[in-house]
This record gives sequence, structure tokens and C-alpha cells, in this order.
Amino acid sequence: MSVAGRKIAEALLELEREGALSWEQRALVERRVTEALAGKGDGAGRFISILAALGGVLVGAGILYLVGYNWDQLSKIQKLAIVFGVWLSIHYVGFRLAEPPGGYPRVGRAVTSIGILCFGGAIGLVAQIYNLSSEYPNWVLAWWALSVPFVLLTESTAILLLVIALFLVWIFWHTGTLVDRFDQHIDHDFFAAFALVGAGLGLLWSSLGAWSSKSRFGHFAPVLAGLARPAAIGAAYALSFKDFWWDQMDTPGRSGEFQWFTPLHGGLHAQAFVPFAALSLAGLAALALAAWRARERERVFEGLAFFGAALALAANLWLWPRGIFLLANALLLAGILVLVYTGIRRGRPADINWGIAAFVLCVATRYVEYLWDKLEGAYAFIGIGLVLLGMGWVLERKRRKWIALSVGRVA
Amino acid sequence: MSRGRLWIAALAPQVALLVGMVAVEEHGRATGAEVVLEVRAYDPMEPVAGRYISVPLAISRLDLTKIPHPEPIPSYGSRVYVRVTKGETTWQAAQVAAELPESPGGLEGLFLRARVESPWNPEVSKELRLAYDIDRFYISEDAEDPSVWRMNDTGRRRLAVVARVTASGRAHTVDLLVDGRPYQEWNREQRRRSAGK
Repeated sequence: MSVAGRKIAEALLELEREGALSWEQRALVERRVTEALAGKGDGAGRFISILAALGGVLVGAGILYLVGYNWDQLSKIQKLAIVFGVWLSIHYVGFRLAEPPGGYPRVGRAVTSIGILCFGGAIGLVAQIYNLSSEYPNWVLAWWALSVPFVLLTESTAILLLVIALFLVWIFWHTGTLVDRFDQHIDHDFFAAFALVGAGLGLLWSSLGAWSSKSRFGHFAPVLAGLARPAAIGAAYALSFKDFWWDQMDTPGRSGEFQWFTPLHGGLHAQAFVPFAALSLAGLAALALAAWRARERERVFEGLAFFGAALALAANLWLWPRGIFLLANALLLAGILVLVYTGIRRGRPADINWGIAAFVLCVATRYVEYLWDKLEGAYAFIGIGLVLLGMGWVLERKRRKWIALSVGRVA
Repeated sequence: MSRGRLWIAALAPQVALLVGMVAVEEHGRATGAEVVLEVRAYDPMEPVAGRYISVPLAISRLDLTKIPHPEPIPSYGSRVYVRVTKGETTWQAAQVAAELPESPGGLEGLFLRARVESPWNPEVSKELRLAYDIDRFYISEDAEDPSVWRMNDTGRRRLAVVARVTASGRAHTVDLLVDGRPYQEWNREQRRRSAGK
């Protein structure tokens, strides 16, 4: 048993002696903690969850197939009755299975997930019945926003991830539609808006993780913090290409009356920054709540770091978009170093792995970006292969050392 | 509050949204005035929505040299109202207005709500492109598609959308006419013909 596991076992024993835990409760908690520390987890439970989710998806697909096959033969009332009936029944079954005395929480949560998916299907079917369409994906907005209460109610990580996936579909779709509406928009508007949404998501998720850390949703904190990392890395990476920003962005002042400081920021539309501003405000509000209620200094500082990086990217795009690749690459490098350093210090192998993945991605991309044209066919492939092999060898050695260091720190 | 009531509270906004969608559509269909609008259809497929016929209205593209319109031209994305009047078989655009008149007065026809879809550049074109948000007609996976025609067909089919327009100018699709016949009726006949061959 590790040092951490031994200390937890001692604390649990003390709680049992004080009468706060029964012998059975102490034994159960100790076994689960030991499994979690050993990285085993509740494998059987997870298998049941996956099995139940697959079963739910198949049943849902089967019902939809049956309905679709007989769609023409059904009257409007019959269609609506099926849509509402199937959707509400799934939620009822999920509730009865998951809540006491149901006794099947894993299957119940899987069925509730299907109910959440079916809500989107129900919106789509009602839209079909009445031939509805809309410019903005407001139906996806309604889908994820009205599903948030189920995340809070079930406290399920799987349902949280499902709602986040719906949120991602909506935010990028909506942003794309928004940019598409700009008068004389350019490709750089799309790129800037999407990358800044990624940066804003990094801030938002990091802040929500900090806020939830000391609440009954504490188990969401590592998931949200884990999602913040790829979002921020992805944002900086998307802006790190020199040719796209430097060589092609040479037509300042073509985007109309909404431009402020046009000579400075070239052809970018000011409205492209709106989704980022909205996400940042939400993220800052969550961060303020985290600082006030959770008092998790380390996580709050992490959120502030995400905010600083996102704000720097936005300011650079606003004032001098042609030079954004310089800052994006600098932030990527800084981010990699911080991830590896904090991964070792806090004992988080996942951070080290994210740092290494970002490093490999950057080196490979820059190699292809700058040397591809200078080398001919076969030599380019051989060169890339050798670079990747060399990096793999060096990183494997370093990674082992860093992870051993991080484990030592925690112990 | 019990867990059961919490679940009902979580579900209630979702139910309200769907019931609201149905209620708005049913109200529009029950109270709106009927118009028949010519369409220029094609048949796309969307993984999420399923199969539908895209039915952009013929009055989605207006020649501003022939139709009275406000000056300056409403900007990209803004809302306009198109007055339509009854023609021989379908309704035709007669005017573009920036606001919905409070009382149409002696004006003939109905006002349809639309959105300016393309940036207006008078140096390039005198055509104004509009979206009415009734540009889809859903059909089942195995249904016949009236927007395609074969060489042995007599010619391109005349397609028109039947819609009901409320006082706010919002249109609600009721049916699709294929050569003047309701879509379901036309589809059934096409299937009978295919089965007979």
C-alpha cells in the first residue's frame, strides 16, 4: 500500500473508533480508496454502465427506426403521442431504476442519458411534423441548456460529459453561423472566432472546476480541469500558423462600419470577438464564485492563468492579428513547461502527458510547415519519421522520469 | 422537495418547450390566412434532421428594379416584410417594407416576414435575397421526390408551398403542392405507378 493509502486507512480506522463509521462502511470505503489509488477503479461497474448505455442506444434507435418506417401511415396526433410517450417513458424508467428503491443506479443513469438524447430527437421530430427550420441552431441551445438540471440532479459524470458535448456542438455551430452573417467576412474571421471560443472554453471549464471543487459536485472538478487543457492548447495551436496570418492578411479595412482601429487589426470583424467575450464573462463569474466560496487558491490561480492567456490572444488578434502566431507559439511553449512542471509538483501524470502531447504536436507541425517545401518527397517522409522516432525515444525516457518524480512528490 | 418532484421540475421546461412549439404551430395554422407560394425545390439530406425537400420560395429573390422597396435597402440580416398578392395560381411579391404596417389600409394582399440573406451591393446586383424560414418540407426515407424529374417525364413539375400567415407575418407550412395536388396524394399515386411497372 502507498503512503497516501496507508494514511487514509489510518484516518478511516480512527473514524470507526470514534463511531462515525460502522465496520462495514469503513471496510467498503477503504477497499474503494485502495482500488482508486491503485488505478483499478470499479471495472465491473464501468462495464455494466457501458453495457446498459449500449442497450439504451439500441432500444432508442430501434424505436426511431420503427417510427420512421411507419411515419407516412401515422396521423399528426399519433406522431406527437409517440414522440412525447417514448421520451417521457424513458425518463420515467430512468428515474425508477436509479432512485431508491430502484436499486439499479448505473442502468438508471444510462437510461436517463438516453432520455436526454431523446429530447433532441423529440425537438427534431416536432420540427419535422411542422416543417420548421431556423438559421441559428437554437434547438441545440435549448437541448443542452434544458438538460443541465439533469447534470445537477443526477451528479453523474457521464451525463455531464453528454451535456458538454451538446454545448460544444451548439457553441461552434452558432459561432460559425454568426460569422457567416458578417458583411464581407473573411476566412480569418472564422479562424479567430473558433480559436477564441476554444480559449474561452479553457477558461470557463477551469473556472467551473475550481467552483465545483469544494461542493457536492467535487468529482466534476478533475473532469472539467482535464477538459480545460486540450481546449486551451487547441486554441493556441490553431493560431500558431505563420503563413495563414502573416502572408494572407494583407487587406486591412475591408470589413465595414463596425470596425474599430481598422488600420491596426486589419480585416477582422469586431463581432468575431463576441462569443469569446460571453464565454470569458461566464468564466470570470465562476472564478469569482470559486474564489469566494471554494477558497481553492491553487485552482483559482490556474483559472486566472487561463484567463490571462486567453485575454492576451484576444488582445493580440484585436490589435495586430498578423503577428498572432508569435504569441500563440510562445504561449504553447510556456503552457508545455507549466504543464510538465505542475504535473511533477502536484503529482498529476495527466498534465505531464498533455504537455508531452502538445510538444510532439508543435514540433511535428512546425517541421512540416517550414521544411516540407525544402525537402523532396521521400526525404521529407524519412526526415519526419526520424524526427518523430527521435522525439519518441527522448520523451519516453523523460516521461518515465517525470512520472516517477510526480508519484514521489505525492507519496 | 422529494426526488420525484425534482425530476418533474427538471423535465417541466423541456415539456413546456415542446408543447409551446406545437401550440405556436397549431395556432398559426388555425388562425393564419392561406397563401400558395411557388418554390424552386431540390432534395438535400441532413444527418440530424433526416430527408427533406428544400423549398426556397420563388419570392426569395426579388428584382428591386421592379418592386417598390425602402431606401436605403435594409442591411444584411435585418427583418423585412414582403407584401404578397394573389396571382393566377400562386401569390406574387408586390412590395418590400421595412416595418409591418399597423393597419394595411387599402393595401391588397398579406405581409410575409423575411430576413435579408445576402449583403446588398447595388453596384453588383439589383437582386435582393430573402429567407422566410419555411424552406423545408420533410418527407420519409422511401418517399418519391418531386424535385427531380426524368427525361421521360412530361416536364419539370410545378411545386408550391401552402402556408398560413399570421398577423405578425410569420408563415407556417401546411402542405406542398405538386402540379396543384397535395404531396401525400401525389406520392401515393407515384408509388402505385412504380408498383404497377
